[in-house]
Amino acid sequence: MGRGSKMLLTGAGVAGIVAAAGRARKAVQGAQAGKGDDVPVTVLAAPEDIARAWAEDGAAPGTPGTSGSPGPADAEELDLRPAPAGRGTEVRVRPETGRDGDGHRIGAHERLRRVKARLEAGEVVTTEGQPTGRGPVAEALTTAVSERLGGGAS
Amino acid sequence: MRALVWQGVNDLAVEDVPEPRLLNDHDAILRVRATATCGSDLHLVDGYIPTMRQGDVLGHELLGEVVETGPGVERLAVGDRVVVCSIIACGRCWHCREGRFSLCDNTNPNPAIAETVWGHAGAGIFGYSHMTGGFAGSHAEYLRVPFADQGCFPVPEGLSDDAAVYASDAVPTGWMGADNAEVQPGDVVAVWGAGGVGQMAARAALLMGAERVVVVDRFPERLRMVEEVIGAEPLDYTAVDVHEALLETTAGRGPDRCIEAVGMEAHDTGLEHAYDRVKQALRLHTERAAPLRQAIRACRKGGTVSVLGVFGGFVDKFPLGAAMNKGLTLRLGQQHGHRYIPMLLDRMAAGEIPTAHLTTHPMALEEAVDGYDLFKHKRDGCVRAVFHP
Repeated sequence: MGRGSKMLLTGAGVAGIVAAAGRARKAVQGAQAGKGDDVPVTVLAAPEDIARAWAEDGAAPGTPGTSGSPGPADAEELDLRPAPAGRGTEVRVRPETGRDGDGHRIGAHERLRRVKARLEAGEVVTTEGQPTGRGPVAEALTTAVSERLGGGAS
Repeated sequence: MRALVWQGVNDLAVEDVPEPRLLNDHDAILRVRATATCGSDLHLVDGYIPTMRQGDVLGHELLGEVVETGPGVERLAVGDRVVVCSIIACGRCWHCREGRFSLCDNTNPNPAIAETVWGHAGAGIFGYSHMTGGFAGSHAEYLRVPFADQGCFPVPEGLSDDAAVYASDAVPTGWMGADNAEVQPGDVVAVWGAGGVGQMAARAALLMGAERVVVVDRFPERLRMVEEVIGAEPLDYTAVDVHEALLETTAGRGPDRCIEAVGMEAHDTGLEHAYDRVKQALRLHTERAAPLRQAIRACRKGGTVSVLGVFGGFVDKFPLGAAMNKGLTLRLGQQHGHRYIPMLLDRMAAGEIPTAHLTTHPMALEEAVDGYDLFKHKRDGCVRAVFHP
């Protein structure tokens, strides 16, 4: 990934990579000043792979629990910049763009976590369906409460 | 299958639960052959680590046999006898590639709790609350292991189940404590806690070339193990003033490296312990940290304090002034076991790291409630109860 590259997505596709060597500092200052609501994550992957994974989120093979059709990628909110020291790509997204494959709105944070895990680890680890002593009704209830409180399905 | 489940604070039960199944492509299913109690489990049993839920399966230190693998598993085969690192790591994120496996970015499916309390979420851990992922634990007949190629390590022949099981947690945690302490040949090292992890830290320090290793505890049977099996020097904190004894041992310098292997429910004597107990019981702080305070105060100027014991929240009366003005280095963390376990299994097989003596109480899984009672209260000389489902 080239130094200073920046990618903005528009609609459901990739708008392009803007080679912005020399502008990186300015871009970061802009992000600090005006995008305080963004949800950030650093992904050890190239920006084009992140853009693709973001658009495809919800249809990841080998990822149980996210098998619905992809939601629209409101991608003008997805901002990609190179992370320092070979750490991949800094990703920032506006929270309202996040939604899961079943059409339910989820936090951008959770969606970014899934994208990051798919790209880095090859799958999104889950605990849904593992043994507990709670029984199916209590398990479904605690999972639902956990998700409503902002956690994952654990 | 049968499993030991957490029903509430100080309320455990062996119950029927569903058998695990493959949930991700990189999973394996193991038949558990040996699963050990660990001092850090007591923080869950006693309710000091929050976010346990009724019905959670406990246990994180295990040895098992592979019975099924997912389509993404390449290095394991059905029938392999393996130890499983208690930490779950993807092996591919930036932290894993740097060798800091317990900081893995991708193995806690419920990071919101840890992010709220700690700022960031670490790796998932088997059977260790929903703050570390909510994974089912190993005190069961079968266990599902995510990222099995990363976390399962074949056990050398000749190493018994009851000896090898500690390669899952106690041995790598102890080794990392000495590694983090940067033990050098000629060092004097003090270790607080003579449980399994403390003994392994002491042994690691000796193997790294420490001139003397002193282990602080109060239980005679554990102190005997320190002397007779590990080859270190026991120090009974109920019989002597630890600070004065360590200064005497080092002619006033203080130990070069101090390793805390006790954690948030430390016992001590005197008013400070009473103060800690009351504040913890009232939830005005979450840690009883007397050994950590002692370590910082005793450590020589410019030395290193390495923290292995599990802490969960906030500690009172932390001697930051001593740490700062003496120029100490503090190193902390859950074990990065994936980095160490293959090397440690070789050392265990070669007889360099004795562990079989730790299993004072081998038991059936059906006896696990009694096993935890023995272990918690150190009855009958219990150092570790190991269950065989």
